[in-house]
Amino acid sequence: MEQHSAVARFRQAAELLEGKWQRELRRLSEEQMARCEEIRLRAGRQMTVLLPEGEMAPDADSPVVTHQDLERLCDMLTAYSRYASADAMGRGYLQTKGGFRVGLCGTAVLREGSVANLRDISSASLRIGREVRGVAAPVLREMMDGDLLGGTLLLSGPGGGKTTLLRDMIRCLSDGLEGQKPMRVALADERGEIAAMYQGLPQLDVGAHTDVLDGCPKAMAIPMLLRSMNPQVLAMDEITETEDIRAIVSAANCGVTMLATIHAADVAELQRKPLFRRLLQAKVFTKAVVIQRREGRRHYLVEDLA
Amino acid sequence: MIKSVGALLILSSSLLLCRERFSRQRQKLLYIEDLAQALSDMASAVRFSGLTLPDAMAQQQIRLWCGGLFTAVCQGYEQGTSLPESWREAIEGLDWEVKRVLQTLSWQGDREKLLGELQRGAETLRETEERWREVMRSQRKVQLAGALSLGLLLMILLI
Repeated sequence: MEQHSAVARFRQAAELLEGKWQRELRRLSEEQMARCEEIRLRAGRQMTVLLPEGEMAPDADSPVVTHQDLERLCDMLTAYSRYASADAMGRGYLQTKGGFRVGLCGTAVLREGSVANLRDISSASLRIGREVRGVAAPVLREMMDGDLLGGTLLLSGPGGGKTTLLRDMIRCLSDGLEGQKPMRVALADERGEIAAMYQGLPQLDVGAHTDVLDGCPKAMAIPMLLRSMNPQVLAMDEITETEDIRAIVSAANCGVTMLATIHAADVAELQRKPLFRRLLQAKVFTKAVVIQRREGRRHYLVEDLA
Repeated sequence: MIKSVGALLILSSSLLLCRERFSRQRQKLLYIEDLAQALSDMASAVRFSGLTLPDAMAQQQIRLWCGGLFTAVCQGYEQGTSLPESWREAIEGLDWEVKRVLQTLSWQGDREKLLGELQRGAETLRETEERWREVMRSQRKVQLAGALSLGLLLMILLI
C-alpha cells in the first residue's frame, strides 16, 4: 500500500514534465519509482533520477536535455507566466500543483544587489516530497508530558526526513492525537515545502487546525502569526539565520510552543555551531528529535536539551 | 396590380438582403471591439493582479462576442496543449486581419513584453475596427443605393 502511494506520487510528479520525459520515466520499475527522491534535468546531460543509492538515468539511450527543454519546462511550470513566479524563481525554485518543488539553476538576474530572477535555465531538480502519515505519533507520545509539549528541534543531515517528520507532527497536533484535544498550529512555511500551498490550499495534509503563512521570511512570519492567529504551537522549517533565532526567542516569551528543524546530525554538532549555541542557551527548546538512518530505515531518538 | 405587387416584393427582398448583410457586418465590429477590450482587460489583470495568463484568459470566457475564443484556448491548455499552441489553434478560423493581429501575441512569460504586446494588440484591433466601420459605412450607402435603384428599375420595367 505504501509503495502504491509512493508510485502514484512519483507519477503525479512526472506529469509535470513534457511527454518525452514522462515516457523515459516509465522505463523505471515500480520499486525504483517508489524510492525516487528527485528527477533531475541538466542541459547537455541525460535526465537522471535520484534514488537513495545515487543518481541514475532511466535508460542508457535516454535523450540529452537541451536548454530549450528546460526553458519549456519553466514555461509549463509557471503556466507561461514567469512574471507571476519571478520572486520564487529569484529564490531558485518553483512551487507547483501537487506540492512539488522544482529547484532551478541558471544565470541570476541581479537587481539592487539581490537575485530578482533567473534566466538561461541550465538545470532543474524536481523534488518528490512525500507524506508519511503516522511517523510522528509515537515520537510525540514519547515527548509529551500529558497534554504538554515543550519546544522541540528536529535534527538530521540533508535528506534525513526532518520536513516529513515535522509535517506529520503538525498534522497530529492539529487534528489531535488519540485522547488529546486538537491544537491551533501556526506554520511559517518560508520555502513552501511543508504544506506546499497552491492557490491558497495546502497540497499536503497539515491538519484541520493549522494556519499557514508561506513564502514569508521566518523572522517576519513569526511575529505576524503570533499577532494574527493566536497559535498554541508555532512550527517552522530550517532555522538558518540570526534573525530567525531572535524572532523565535521573542515568540517563546509569549507562551507558544515551538517546533523547528535544523541541519545538524546530532545535538553535539548543534552545540559546536555558535549560531545554534545561542539558541540552546535561550532554552526555547527543551527536546530534540535526532533522525538517524540505519540499514535503510529511519530511527527517531528523543533527547533532552535542558 | 400583380406587377406592382411583384415589384414591391423585389424591392422588399433587396432591402432585407441589405439588412442581413449589415447585421453580419455589425457583428464583426462587435466581435473585434469585444476582443480589443478583452486584451486590455488581460493586460490589467496581469499588471495589477499578477494573474497568470491561463487565469487571465479564463476571466474573458464570459464575454458575449469573443468569449468562445478564450474558452477554446483554455480547453486546449487544460487538455495538455501548450498555451501558444492552443492560441494558434483557436485563432485559426478568424478573419485574416484579426488573425494577423492575434498572431503577434507570443505568450512568453516576460511581463513587460507581454503587456506591450497586449496593449499593441488591443490598439491595432481598435484601429482595424475604426477602419472597418468607415469602410462598412460607405459600403452600406453604396449597397443601399444599389438595391433601391435595382428595385426601382425593376418596378419601372414591370409596370
